[in-house]
Amino acid sequence: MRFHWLFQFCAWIDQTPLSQWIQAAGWIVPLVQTVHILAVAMVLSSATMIALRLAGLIALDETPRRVVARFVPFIWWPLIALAGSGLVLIVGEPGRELLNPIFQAKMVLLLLAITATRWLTVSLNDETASGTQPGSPAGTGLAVAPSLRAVATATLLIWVTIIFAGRWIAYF
Amino acid sequence: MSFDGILQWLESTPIAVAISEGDALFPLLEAIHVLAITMVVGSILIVDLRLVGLASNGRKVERVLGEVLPLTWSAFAVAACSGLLLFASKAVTYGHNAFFLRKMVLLALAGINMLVFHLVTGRDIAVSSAGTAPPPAAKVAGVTSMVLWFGIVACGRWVGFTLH
Repeated sequence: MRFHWLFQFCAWIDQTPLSQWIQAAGWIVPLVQTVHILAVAMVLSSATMIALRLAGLIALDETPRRVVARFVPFIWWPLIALAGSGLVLIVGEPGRELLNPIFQAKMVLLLLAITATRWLTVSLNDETASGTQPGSPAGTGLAVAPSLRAVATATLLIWVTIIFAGRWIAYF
Repeated sequence: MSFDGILQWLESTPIAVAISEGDALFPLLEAIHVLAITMVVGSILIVDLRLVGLASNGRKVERVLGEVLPLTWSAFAVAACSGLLLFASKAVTYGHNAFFLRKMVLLALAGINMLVFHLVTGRDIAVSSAGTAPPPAAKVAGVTSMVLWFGIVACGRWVGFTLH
Protein backbone atom coordinates (compact mmCIF):
# COMPACT_ATOMS: atom_id res chain seq x y z
CA MET A 1 0.00 0.00 0.00
CA ARG A 2 1.28 3.40 -1.04
CA PHE A 3 0.58 5.23 2.21
CA HIS A 4 1.30 2.35 4.54
CA TRP A 5 3.89 4.38 6.47
CA LEU A 6 1.36 7.19 6.91
CA PHE A 7 -1.17 4.78 8.45
CA GLN A 8 1.49 3.50 10.83
CA PHE A 9 2.50 7.06 11.70
CA CYS A 10 -1.14 7.95 12.48
CA ALA A 11 -1.55 4.81 14.58
CA TRP A 12 1.60 5.71 16.48
CA ILE A 13 0.45 9.33 17.16
CA ASP A 14 -2.96 8.02 18.15
CA GLN A 15 -1.62 6.01 21.09
CA THR A 16 0.75 8.70 22.47
CA PRO A 17 -0.27 10.07 25.88
CA LEU A 18 -0.71 13.57 24.39
CA SER A 19 -3.14 12.35 21.73
CA GLN A 20 -5.01 10.24 24.29
CA TRP A 21 -5.30 13.28 26.56
CA ILE A 22 -6.66 15.49 23.77
CA GLN A 23 -9.16 12.79 22.81
CA ALA A 24 -10.29 12.27 26.42
CA ALA A 25 -10.71 15.96 27.28
CA GLY A 26 -13.77 16.95 25.26
CA TRP A 27 -13.12 20.68 25.49
CA ILE A 28 -9.70 20.83 23.82
CA VAL A 29 -10.76 20.20 20.21
CA PRO A 30 -13.60 22.78 20.09
CA LEU A 31 -11.47 25.36 21.93
CA VAL A 32 -8.51 24.90 19.60
CA GLN A 33 -10.87 24.95 16.60
CA THR A 34 -12.18 28.30 17.88
CA VAL A 35 -8.64 29.73 17.95
CA HIS A 36 -8.06 28.23 14.49
CA ILE A 37 -11.21 29.88 13.07
CA LEU A 38 -10.35 33.28 14.58
CA ALA A 39 -6.86 33.13 13.08
CA VAL A 40 -8.38 32.13 9.72
CA ALA A 41 -10.69 35.14 10.06
CA MET A 42 -7.69 37.47 10.35
CA VAL A 43 -5.96 35.91 7.34
CA LEU A 44 -9.09 36.02 5.19
CA SER A 45 -10.04 39.61 5.99
CA SER A 46 -6.45 40.81 5.52
CA ALA A 47 -6.08 38.99 2.18
CA THR A 48 -9.43 40.48 1.13
CA MET A 49 -8.33 44.03 1.99
CA ILE A 50 -5.11 43.54 0.02
CA ALA A 51 -6.98 42.11 -3.00
CA LEU A 52 -9.57 44.91 -2.87
CA ARG A 53 -6.86 47.59 -2.74
CA LEU A 54 -4.89 46.07 -5.60
CA ALA A 55 -8.13 45.80 -7.59
CA GLY A 56 -8.54 49.53 -7.04
CA LEU A 57 -11.73 49.23 -5.00
CA ILE A 58 -10.77 50.54 -1.54
CA ALA A 59 -8.27 52.85 0.20
CA LEU A 60 -7.33 54.61 -3.04
CA ASP A 61 -5.83 57.46 -1.04
CA GLU A 62 -3.17 55.05 0.25
CA THR A 63 -0.41 53.47 -1.87
CA PRO A 64 -0.79 49.73 -2.54
CA ARG A 65 2.49 49.19 -0.75
CA ARG A 66 1.22 50.88 2.40
CA VAL A 67 -2.00 48.90 2.39
CA VAL A 68 -0.09 45.64 1.97
CA ALA A 69 2.30 46.66 4.76
CA ARG A 70 -0.73 47.44 6.94
CA PHE A 71 -2.39 44.03 6.43
CA VAL A 72 0.31 41.50 5.61
CA PRO A 73 1.46 41.12 9.26
CA PHE A 74 -2.11 39.97 9.97
CA ILE A 75 -1.54 37.14 7.50
CA TRP A 76 1.89 36.05 8.82
CA TRP A 77 1.17 36.19 12.59
CA PRO A 78 -2.12 34.29 12.45
CA LEU A 79 -0.36 31.66 10.31
CA ILE A 80 1.80 30.84 13.34
CA ALA A 81 -1.34 30.44 15.47
CA LEU A 82 -2.85 28.33 12.67
CA ALA A 83 0.18 26.04 12.55
CA GLY A 84 0.11 25.60 16.34
CA SER A 85 -3.62 25.02 16.63
CA GLY A 86 -3.60 22.84 13.50
CA LEU A 87 -0.86 20.69 15.00
CA VAL A 88 -2.91 20.13 18.16
CA LEU A 89 -5.90 19.07 16.03
CA ILE A 90 -3.69 16.66 14.05
CA VAL A 91 -2.28 15.10 17.21
CA GLY A 92 -5.82 14.74 18.59
CA GLU A 93 -7.21 13.08 15.46
CA PRO A 94 -4.27 12.07 13.22
CA GLY A 95 -6.22 9.74 10.94
CA ARG A 96 -9.04 12.24 10.36
CA GLU A 97 -6.53 14.80 9.09
CA LEU A 98 -3.37 13.25 7.63
CA LEU A 99 -5.12 10.45 5.75
CA ASN A 100 -7.81 12.77 4.42
CA PRO A 101 -7.41 13.77 0.74
CA ILE A 102 -9.13 17.09 1.48
CA PHE A 103 -6.59 17.83 4.24
CA GLN A 104 -3.74 16.93 1.87
CA ALA A 105 -5.14 19.22 -0.81
CA LYS A 106 -5.53 21.94 1.82
CA MET A 107 -1.82 21.75 2.69
CA VAL A 108 -0.79 22.05 -0.99
CA LEU A 109 -3.07 25.08 -1.41
CA LEU A 110 -1.62 26.57 1.77
CA LEU A 111 1.91 26.41 0.36
CA LEU A 112 0.60 28.05 -2.79
CA ALA A 113 -1.10 30.86 -0.85
CA ILE A 114 2.01 31.52 1.25
CA THR A 115 4.24 31.61 -1.84
CA ALA A 116 1.86 33.96 -3.67
CA THR A 117 1.59 36.30 -0.66
CA ARG A 118 5.36 36.42 -0.31
CA TRP A 119 5.69 37.09 -4.05
CA LEU A 120 3.20 39.95 -3.78
CA THR A 121 5.06 41.74 -0.99
CA VAL A 122 8.46 41.23 -2.59
CA SER A 123 7.23 42.41 -6.00
CA LEU A 124 5.68 45.53 -4.55
CA ASN A 125 8.90 46.40 -2.74
CA ASP A 126 11.05 45.61 -5.80
CA GLU A 127 9.02 47.75 -8.12
CA THR A 128 9.26 50.58 -5.66
CA ALA A 129 13.01 50.18 -5.29
CA SER A 130 13.88 49.82 -8.96
CA GLY A 131 11.21 52.19 -10.21
CA THR A 132 10.23 50.00 -13.18
CA GLN A 133 7.42 52.35 -14.01
CA PRO A 134 8.96 55.82 -14.06
CA GLY A 135 6.72 58.45 -12.59
CA SER A 136 4.37 55.92 -11.06
CA PRO A 137 6.05 52.79 -9.70
CA ALA A 138 3.48 50.25 -8.61
CA GLY A 139 4.47 50.43 -4.96
CA THR A 140 4.64 54.16 -4.39
CA GLY A 141 2.14 55.43 -6.94
CA LEU A 142 -1.56 54.80 -6.70
CA ALA A 143 -1.68 52.56 -9.80
CA VAL A 144 -1.24 48.79 -9.64
CA ALA A 145 0.41 46.48 -12.18
CA PRO A 146 -2.14 44.01 -13.64
CA SER A 147 0.01 41.02 -12.64
CA LEU A 148 -0.08 42.08 -8.98
CA ARG A 149 -3.82 42.60 -9.17
CA ALA A 150 -4.33 39.14 -10.69
CA VAL A 151 -2.10 37.41 -8.13
CA ALA A 152 -3.84 39.15 -5.21
CA THR A 153 -7.27 38.06 -6.46
CA ALA A 154 -6.06 34.51 -7.13
CA THR A 155 -4.51 34.35 -3.66
CA LEU A 156 -7.80 35.40 -2.08
CA LEU A 157 -9.60 32.65 -4.02
CA ILE A 158 -7.03 30.13 -2.77
CA TRP A 159 -7.70 31.20 0.84
CA VAL A 160 -11.44 30.82 0.23
CA THR A 161 -10.87 27.32 -1.15
CA ILE A 162 -8.69 26.46 1.86
CA ILE A 163 -11.49 27.51 4.23
CA PHE A 164 -14.03 25.43 2.29
CA ALA A 165 -11.63 22.49 2.39
CA GLY A 166 -11.17 22.95 6.14
CA ARG A 167 -14.89 22.53 6.75
CA TRP A 168 -15.13 19.61 4.32
CA ILE A 169 -12.45 17.57 6.08
CA ALA A 170 -15.27 16.49 8.38
CA TYR A 171 -17.20 14.94 5.49
CA PHE A 172 -14.48 12.84 3.85
CA MET B 1 -48.27 28.92 18.22
CA SER B 2 -45.80 27.87 20.89
CA PHE B 3 -42.02 28.20 20.51
CA ASP B 4 -41.77 24.44 19.91
CA GLY B 5 -44.62 24.68 17.44
CA ILE B 6 -42.72 27.27 15.43
CA LEU B 7 -39.57 25.13 15.52
CA GLN B 8 -41.48 22.08 14.33
CA TRP B 9 -43.15 24.07 11.55
CA LEU B 10 -39.77 25.47 10.45
CA GLU B 11 -38.29 21.99 10.35
CA SER B 12 -41.15 20.70 8.20
CA THR B 13 -40.88 23.37 5.49
CA PRO B 14 -39.83 21.91 2.11
CA ILE B 15 -36.51 23.77 2.10
CA ALA B 16 -35.61 22.55 5.61
CA VAL B 17 -36.49 18.97 4.63
CA ALA B 18 -34.37 19.26 1.48
CA ILE B 19 -31.37 20.40 3.57
CA SER B 20 -31.70 17.74 6.23
CA GLU B 21 -32.36 14.88 3.80
CA GLY B 22 -29.92 15.77 1.02
CA ASP B 23 -26.31 14.64 1.21
CA ALA B 24 -24.47 17.70 -0.01
CA LEU B 25 -26.69 20.65 0.88
CA PHE B 26 -25.92 20.75 4.62
CA PRO B 27 -22.11 20.55 4.22
CA LEU B 28 -22.27 23.12 1.43
CA LEU B 29 -24.30 25.57 3.54
CA GLU B 30 -22.01 24.91 6.48
CA ALA B 31 -18.92 25.77 4.43
CA ILE B 32 -20.59 28.96 3.18
CA HIS B 33 -21.56 29.81 6.77
CA VAL B 34 -17.99 29.31 8.03
CA LEU B 35 -16.60 31.38 5.16
CA ALA B 36 -19.06 34.21 5.82
CA ILE B 37 -18.42 34.12 9.57
CA THR B 38 -14.65 34.27 9.15
CA MET B 39 -15.16 37.30 6.91
CA VAL B 40 -17.49 38.98 9.44
CA VAL B 41 -15.21 38.30 12.41
CA GLY B 42 -12.01 39.07 10.52
CA SER B 43 -13.26 42.41 9.26
CA ILE B 44 -14.56 43.32 12.72
CA LEU B 45 -11.16 42.37 14.18
CA ILE B 46 -9.51 44.85 11.81
CA VAL B 47 -11.66 47.59 13.37
CA ASP B 48 -11.21 46.28 16.93
CA LEU B 49 -7.43 46.14 16.56
CA ARG B 50 -7.49 49.73 15.28
CA LEU B 51 -9.63 50.80 18.24
CA VAL B 52 -7.22 49.31 20.77
CA GLY B 53 -4.27 50.74 18.84
CA LEU B 54 -2.67 47.53 17.54
CA ALA B 55 -3.27 47.88 13.79
CA SER B 56 -3.77 50.51 11.08
CA ASN B 57 -2.64 53.15 13.57
CA GLY B 58 -1.58 55.57 10.86
CA ARG B 59 -5.14 55.70 9.53
CA LYS B 60 -8.21 57.43 10.91
CA VAL B 61 -10.75 55.13 12.58
CA GLU B 62 -13.37 56.67 10.34
CA ARG B 63 -11.51 55.60 7.21
CA VAL B 64 -10.81 52.09 8.51
CA LEU B 65 -14.54 51.77 9.24
CA GLY B 66 -15.38 53.03 5.77
CA GLU B 67 -13.23 50.46 3.99
CA VAL B 68 -14.19 47.53 6.23
CA LEU B 69 -17.89 47.87 7.08
CA PRO B 70 -19.35 47.18 3.60
CA LEU B 71 -17.46 43.89 3.73
CA THR B 72 -18.70 43.15 7.25
CA TRP B 73 -22.34 43.77 6.40
CA SER B 74 -22.40 41.86 3.14
CA ALA B 75 -20.68 38.89 4.79
CA PHE B 76 -23.10 39.17 7.73
CA ALA B 77 -26.06 38.92 5.35
CA VAL B 78 -24.60 35.71 3.90
CA ALA B 79 -23.86 34.33 7.38
CA ALA B 80 -27.40 35.12 8.59
CA CYS B 81 -29.10 33.53 5.56
CA SER B 82 -26.95 30.39 5.57
CA GLY B 83 -27.30 30.21 9.36
CA LEU B 84 -31.08 30.44 9.17
CA LEU B 85 -31.19 27.63 6.61
CA LEU B 86 -28.92 25.43 8.74
CA PHE B 87 -31.06 26.22 11.79
CA ALA B 88 -34.28 25.36 9.94
CA SER B 89 -32.97 21.92 8.97
CA LYS B 90 -32.72 20.90 12.67
CA ALA B 91 -34.77 23.66 14.29
CA VAL B 92 -35.99 21.64 17.29
CA THR B 93 -32.49 20.39 18.13
CA TYR B 94 -30.79 23.79 17.73
CA GLY B 95 -33.67 25.60 19.44
CA HIS B 96 -32.99 23.58 22.59
CA ASN B 97 -29.20 23.63 22.42
CA ALA B 98 -27.72 25.72 25.24
CA PHE B 99 -24.68 26.78 23.17
CA PHE B 100 -26.82 27.87 20.24
CA LEU B 101 -28.90 30.05 22.57
CA ARG B 102 -25.75 31.49 24.17
CA LYS B 103 -24.40 32.25 20.71
CA MET B 104 -27.56 34.24 19.91
CA VAL B 105 -27.31 36.18 23.20
CA LEU B 106 -23.64 37.02 22.56
CA LEU B 107 -24.51 38.06 19.01
CA ALA B 108 -27.15 40.45 20.36
CA LEU B 109 -24.61 41.84 22.86
CA ALA B 110 -22.07 42.37 20.05
CA GLY B 111 -24.76 44.28 18.17
CA ILE B 112 -25.51 46.44 21.22
CA ASN B 113 -21.77 47.09 21.76
CA MET B 114 -21.53 48.24 18.14
CA LEU B 115 -24.61 50.46 18.42
CA VAL B 116 -23.37 52.09 21.62
CA PHE B 117 -20.03 52.79 19.99
CA HIS B 118 -21.59 54.19 16.82
CA LEU B 119 -24.25 56.32 18.48
CA VAL B 120 -22.68 57.39 21.76
CA THR B 121 -19.03 56.84 22.60
CA GLY B 122 -17.64 56.71 19.06
CA ARG B 123 -18.91 60.11 17.95
CA ASP B 124 -15.81 62.00 18.97
CA ILE B 125 -13.48 59.16 17.89
CA ALA B 126 -14.47 59.70 14.29
CA VAL B 127 -12.98 63.18 14.37
CA SER B 128 -9.88 62.19 16.34
CA SER B 129 -6.85 62.26 14.08
CA ALA B 130 -4.67 59.45 12.84
CA GLY B 131 -1.66 58.37 14.81
CA THR B 132 -2.97 59.49 18.18
CA ALA B 133 -3.55 57.12 21.09
CA PRO B 134 -7.14 55.86 21.03
CA PRO B 135 -9.40 57.20 23.80
CA PRO B 136 -10.39 54.77 26.60
CA ALA B 137 -13.96 54.42 25.27
CA ALA B 138 -12.59 53.12 21.96
CA LYS B 139 -10.36 50.62 23.73
CA VAL B 140 -13.28 49.37 25.82
CA ALA B 141 -15.45 48.96 22.71
CA GLY B 142 -12.64 47.14 20.88
CA VAL B 143 -11.82 44.74 23.70
CA THR B 144 -15.52 44.05 24.40
CA SER B 145 -16.08 43.27 20.74
CA MET B 146 -13.10 40.89 20.57
CA VAL B 147 -14.22 39.02 23.71
CA LEU B 148 -17.81 38.73 22.42
CA TRP B 149 -16.76 37.45 18.99
CA PHE B 150 -14.43 34.91 20.56
CA GLY B 151 -17.44 33.72 22.54
CA ILE B 152 -19.69 33.65 19.47
CA VAL B 153 -17.26 31.51 17.48
CA ALA B 154 -16.60 29.26 20.49
CA CYS B 155 -20.34 28.71 21.10
CA GLY B 156 -20.81 28.01 17.40
CA ARG B 157 -18.11 25.36 17.57
CA TRP B 158 -19.57 23.88 20.75
CA VAL B 159 -22.98 23.53 19.10
CA GLY B 160 -21.40 21.03 16.71
CA PHE B 161 -20.12 18.95 19.63
CA THR B 162 -23.31 18.94 21.70
CA LEU B 163 -25.96 17.88 19.17
CA HIS B 164 -27.80 14.67 19.94
